[in-house]
Amino acid sequence: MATLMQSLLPLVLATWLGCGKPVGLDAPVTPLVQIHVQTTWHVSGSDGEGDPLDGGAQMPDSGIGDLHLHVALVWGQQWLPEPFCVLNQSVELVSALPADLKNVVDSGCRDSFGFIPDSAGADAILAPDGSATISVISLPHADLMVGDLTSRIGYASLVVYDDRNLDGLLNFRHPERQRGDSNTGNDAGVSDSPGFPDVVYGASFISMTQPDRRVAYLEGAFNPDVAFYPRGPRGACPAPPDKFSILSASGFSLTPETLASIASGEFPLEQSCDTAPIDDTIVIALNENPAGLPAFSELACTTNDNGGTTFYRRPPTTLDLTDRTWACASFPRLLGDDAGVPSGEQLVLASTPNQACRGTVHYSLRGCNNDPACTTPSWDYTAPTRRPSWWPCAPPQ
Amino acid sequence: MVVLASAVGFASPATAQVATSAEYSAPTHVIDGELVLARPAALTTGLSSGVGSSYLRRLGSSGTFAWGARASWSRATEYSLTETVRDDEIRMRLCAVAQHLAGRGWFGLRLGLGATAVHESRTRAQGTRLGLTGSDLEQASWYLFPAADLDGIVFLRVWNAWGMSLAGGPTVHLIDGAASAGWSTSLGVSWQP
Repeated sequence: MATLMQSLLPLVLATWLGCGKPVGLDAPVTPLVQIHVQTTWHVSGSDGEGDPLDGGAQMPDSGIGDLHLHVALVWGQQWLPEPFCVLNQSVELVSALPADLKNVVDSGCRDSFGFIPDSAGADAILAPDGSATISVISLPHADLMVGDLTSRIGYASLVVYDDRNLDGLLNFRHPERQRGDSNTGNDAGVSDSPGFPDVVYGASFISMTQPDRRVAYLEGAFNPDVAFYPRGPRGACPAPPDKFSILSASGFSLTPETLASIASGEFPLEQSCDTAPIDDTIVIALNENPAGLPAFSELACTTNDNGGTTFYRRPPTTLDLTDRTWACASFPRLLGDDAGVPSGEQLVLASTPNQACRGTVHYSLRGCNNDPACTTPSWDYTAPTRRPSWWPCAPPQ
Repeated sequence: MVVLASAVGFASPATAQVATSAEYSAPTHVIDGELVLARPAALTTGLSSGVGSSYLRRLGSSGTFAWGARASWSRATEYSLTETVRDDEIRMRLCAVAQHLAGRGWFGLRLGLGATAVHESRTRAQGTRLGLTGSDLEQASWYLFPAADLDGIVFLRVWNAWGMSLAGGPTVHLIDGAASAGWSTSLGVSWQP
C-alpha cells in the first residue's frame, strides 16, 4: 500500500499542480480527408500530359510574371442552361446558324454540359514540383448536394488557378446581372469583377463532354436516376462508394445522336468510367495560355439563375448596339411548349469580351420579365408609335 | 427586489418576529444552493454555467468569521470550425469568510482554495456525417488544476430560515505552470437554521 502511494503521489501532485493543459479550441485541425493533386504541363500539339511543373513560379510565354498557383476544391451546382443557348447550340450541331446568331451563342453562352461552380471549399498552394495536398476539414453543405437525406451526392472539381489578388481564395465572378429594366449602370458592359480576377489554368472536371476526374461525396445509397453530372446512362457506371471517392469518366461527344439521346432523358454512353479511393492522386494538365480558353475562365464563373429561366427586359429608350454582339432571334419553343410562344423576335445581346463571364441579355417589345407571352404584359411597345427607334428586330404580327 | 420586498411584506407577524430576532446574530450554519456562472477555467472564450452548493459554519460567537466548503458543476460548450469542445468543470473549494452583519443579512469576503477538475470532451464537427467512430469522432480527458477564488458575498434572510445569496469575484487557476485569471458568480437560495 505504501509503495502504491509512493508511486501515485508524484502523479497526483503533478496533476494537482496544473501540469497538463486542456486542448480547448487550440487543437490542431485534423482533416477529414486529404486529396492529392499532381499538375503537369499540357504540351500543345500532343495528346498526352507533359512534365511536372518545373520551378512552379514562372509560366513561360504567359506574360503575366510570377504565378501564385493554388488548387481549390470547387463544388458544383445543379444548373440548367437557358433555352436560347441550349436550343441554338443544338441547332448548330446539325445546321449552320446565321452569322449574327452564331456570334451571340459563341460569345454569350457557356457550355451547356460544363461544370458550373457553386462554391470553393478547401484550398492548397501548389508546390514547386507541381503537387499539392488539399486538406478537407468540412463536408459539403446540403445545398451543394442533390438528393434527400437518404441519398444525396455532391461533385467537386479541382481547379488550379493563379491567385492574382493574393487572398488565398478562388474568387468567383458572375455574368451580367439580368434583373433590371435597362442595360445601364453596373450592367452597362463593364467588367463585373473589379481588381485582378483569378485566372484558371486547369481543372480536373471541366465539362461532361471532356474526360474528367471528379471528387464525389455520397451520403446514403446512390440514386442512379439523379441527372446531376451523370456519367453515362443509368447503370452504365458503377455506383460511387459511400462518402468521399474519386470518380472518372471519359466524357461524351456532342453529336446530333447524343443530343437526341439527352433530349429523350437518357445520357449517352461514355467509353469508360472508373472509381478510385479518395487518397488516389488526381493529375491535372495545366494550360500555358488559358486566356483564350473560355472553358477555363468559366470555371471561375457562377450563375445568376441556375433554373434555366430567361429574364426578359423592357427595351430602354436608347441603346447603343455599336460595339455589342447582338442578334434577333425567335422566342424559344421548348419540347411540349405548344402555346404561349409569341410572334416576333427578341433582341439578344451577348456579353462583351471585357466581361469576366459569359451571359446574354434579352429584350422583348412586349411581355413580362419571366414570360414574353404573358396575357397581361408589363410593357407593350409593339405599336409603331411606341416602338423604340433603335429596335432592330421584327415586331410581333 | 420587488419580489423580495413582497415576500417580506406579506410575511405573517410571527414570521416577521422570527426574522427580526435573527437580524442581530449570524447563523451558525448556512447551506446554499446556487446557480453558477463563470469564465471557463480552460477555454479561452465562452461562459460556463451550472449549479453549486456551499456550506458555511460560524467560527466563535461573534460571527465575524466562518469557514466552509463549496462545490459546483458547470459546463461550457464552444464550437470551432472543426470541433465542438465541451468542458465540464467541477470546482471544489475550502473557504474562509470574513463577514459583517447588516440588517437582515450580512456581507463579506470569501477566500476559497482548492482545485477545479475539468473534463474536456472534443467532438469532430460533422464526424457523424462522415461515419467517424471512436477517437476519430470524440476524445475526452480529465484535468485537475489548483485554484483560488476571492468572492464578495451577500446573504439576505428573506423568510424564516430561508434567504438568498449573491457572490462573485475573481478566480485564479494554475494551468500548466501559468496562472490563468477568470471570474465566477453565483446566485443562490440559502438555508440558515
